Amino acid sequence: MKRIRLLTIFRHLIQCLCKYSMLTIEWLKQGKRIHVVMNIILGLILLVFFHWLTPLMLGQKLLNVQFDHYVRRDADLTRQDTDKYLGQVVYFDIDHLIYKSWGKPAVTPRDQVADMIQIASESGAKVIILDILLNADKEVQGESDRKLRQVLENIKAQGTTKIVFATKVDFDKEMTASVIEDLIDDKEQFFHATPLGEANSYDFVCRFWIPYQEVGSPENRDIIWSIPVLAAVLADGDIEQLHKLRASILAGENANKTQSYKISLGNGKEFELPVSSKETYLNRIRFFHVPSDPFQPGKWSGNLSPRSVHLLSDGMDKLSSTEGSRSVRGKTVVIGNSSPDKGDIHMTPLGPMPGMYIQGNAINTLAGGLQSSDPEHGKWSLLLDVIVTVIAAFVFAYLDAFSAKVLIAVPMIIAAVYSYELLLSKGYFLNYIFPVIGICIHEQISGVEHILKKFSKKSPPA
Amino acid sequence: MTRRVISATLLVTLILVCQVAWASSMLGWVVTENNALVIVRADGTQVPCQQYAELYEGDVIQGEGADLIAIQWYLPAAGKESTANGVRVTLKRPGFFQSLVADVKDFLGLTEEARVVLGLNTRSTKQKLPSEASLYPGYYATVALDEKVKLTWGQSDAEELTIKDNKGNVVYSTKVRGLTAIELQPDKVGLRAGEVYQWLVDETAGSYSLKILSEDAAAILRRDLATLDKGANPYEKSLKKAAYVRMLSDSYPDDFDLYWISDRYARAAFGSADEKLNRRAIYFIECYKLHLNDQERRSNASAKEGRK
Repeated sequence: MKRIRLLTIFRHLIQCLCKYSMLTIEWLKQGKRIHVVMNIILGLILLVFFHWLTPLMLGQKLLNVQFDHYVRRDADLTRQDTDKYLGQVVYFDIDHLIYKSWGKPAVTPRDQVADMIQIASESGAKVIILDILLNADKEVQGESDRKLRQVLENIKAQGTTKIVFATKVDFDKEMTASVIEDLIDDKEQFFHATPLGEANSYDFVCRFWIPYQEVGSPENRDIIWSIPVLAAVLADGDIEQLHKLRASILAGENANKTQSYKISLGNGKEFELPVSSKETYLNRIRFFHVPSDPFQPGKWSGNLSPRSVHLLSDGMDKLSSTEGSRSVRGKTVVIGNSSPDKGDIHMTPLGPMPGMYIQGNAINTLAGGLQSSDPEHGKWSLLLDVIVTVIAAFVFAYLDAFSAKVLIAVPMIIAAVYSYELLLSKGYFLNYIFPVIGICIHEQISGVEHILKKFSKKSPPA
Repeated sequence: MTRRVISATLLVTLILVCQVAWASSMLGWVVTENNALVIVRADGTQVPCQQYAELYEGDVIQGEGADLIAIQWYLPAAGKESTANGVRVTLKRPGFFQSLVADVKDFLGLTEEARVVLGLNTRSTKQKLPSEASLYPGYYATVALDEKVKLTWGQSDAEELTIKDNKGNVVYSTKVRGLTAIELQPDKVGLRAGEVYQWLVDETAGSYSLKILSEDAAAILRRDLATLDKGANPYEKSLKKAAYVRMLSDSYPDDFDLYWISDRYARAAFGSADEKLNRRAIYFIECYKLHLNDQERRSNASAKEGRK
């Protein structure tokens, strides 16, 4: 019985499809065909053109206009609902006041770094990101180095907190050794990580995180993961995934870079590692965390609560207080120096920002499941594009130019309004700037249609 | 139609004028002079290859060692190519249409977008002291009669160091097996004020000039350095002395070549907590290295000339 009903529905569907196909063909015969065909051709040309334009400077600028707008909305969102969007990242900030009181030393005093690591670990931090280089070639700090070593050895013996050490890789792809190099094994607890990010070359605004950096000679090639990737996996995922992926990358699998890598996190979230160096969507940093700038009040309005940012100038006691410990428990702690005199301030879509906060935002983007992706990147992309092109072709053919623009503009405006919601909930980056440009171009192309129409009228009937 | 023709003609004229103006403009100037060389202009006139001599397209620098002459270029497209009797100054013009297309693409933003890598981490702002040069006090240097000077040559397989006067007589000789430097005081080894000496390592390995300052010049130097020896900060004092001897060497190159002392003072000035002072010290140390490179080029050129 059920089968017969399904067959009936299927028959009706086929009949409907045939009927409407015949109607469409009939309609196409009735004089609108040149316009429709022209519009479809125009739509397809635009599709190819925008695909070609995307990696170019102009395409990137247009995309950045839209995405930077979203980034500002992200920051506003955190301001409205701090707890919801702050995620699992806490900052231990060696701010300018404390750095000045130390006499602005060229090398951050490692006994102070040791104290901060110890407090974070004892407070129950899951992961500590040390965004300070501990290069052995700069200065050996005798007693301070011994203290740092002692603290790290204790943490290693306890096996609780995982620590990621920012590591400099020089031009020859050699890792610069740190003063505690022998303690870092890159297996379970202590890891090297590259602290690099990427900016667009035309405006030097930092917008992207990188997945990993290659190190070593061609014969002895290796990779070190970036801080956000390691931090997100160590906090909520299984490090074995990264070990396997590393082996796969080193073995040259997926060498033609056709597929991206998916990393699952224990909290049900996942993120994708981009494989192409020209990736536009997946490696964008979402700036939900904005520190306040004490030197330019009002210009750079912060949105972080005192529970998320612990300034060292407030005293080490405050860090180790009960309230301080509570704010750190189970979280990822980023330790860095935000003093402008350390030269680690970079331009972001929200303004200048210390590197440690950019790292924190990148970690939050991955660990919080806030990674953006392109629906064009997904399976429905081509179908969606073609459907939009065909609908637009019919609308522009059937209606006059003004009415067609209005009709198309309405869903575009709705898309523009809700695109941010889509990005926030699904991570989809809906590009509405290119279709808007397409509609504007249609006007210019209509002149060609008139010429074709005149030509077809002049030609003798068959 | 007439307007279009006139516009096109004007445009072509403008391009031609620009091309001619470009061709006749100065492309560079000579940095290291060598009076043994001569610059032959396109019209056949000849000028000596002196410092700051202007170079134009088609000029030929003739003579042995012409390829070693350092030239400061004004245009990136300017360069030189070897010819049978020297080097020719050339200008490689980019293709007009290629550069036009590149400019239009650049203007419209249709060029490939590149990314810049940033280090998002706190790093040490400590300056590193540059390594010592392999040669002190240089290919040519002036030294005071009663001040110790360290002669450094960098090769540990040398056997003997010899100092000769300008007549070729050996004034001083010592075994240096396994050493790369020795320290000596000119008056203690028989050198005299105002004289020029050659110091050689193993006769064939290297030959360098040493001029002993005249008593007057040494007295001026000593007096001025004593004036600078006031103030509390030892780093600043050393830095001022480094700057002073550098200034003296630049202003009176025939009498003083004290870049090496500038390097010594700058190294003494390094290590302050004030990184600005350290940066200035590094500047004077780098200046000595550049001076040494310049001396090496001149020395090689004159050696070739001597062989010729």
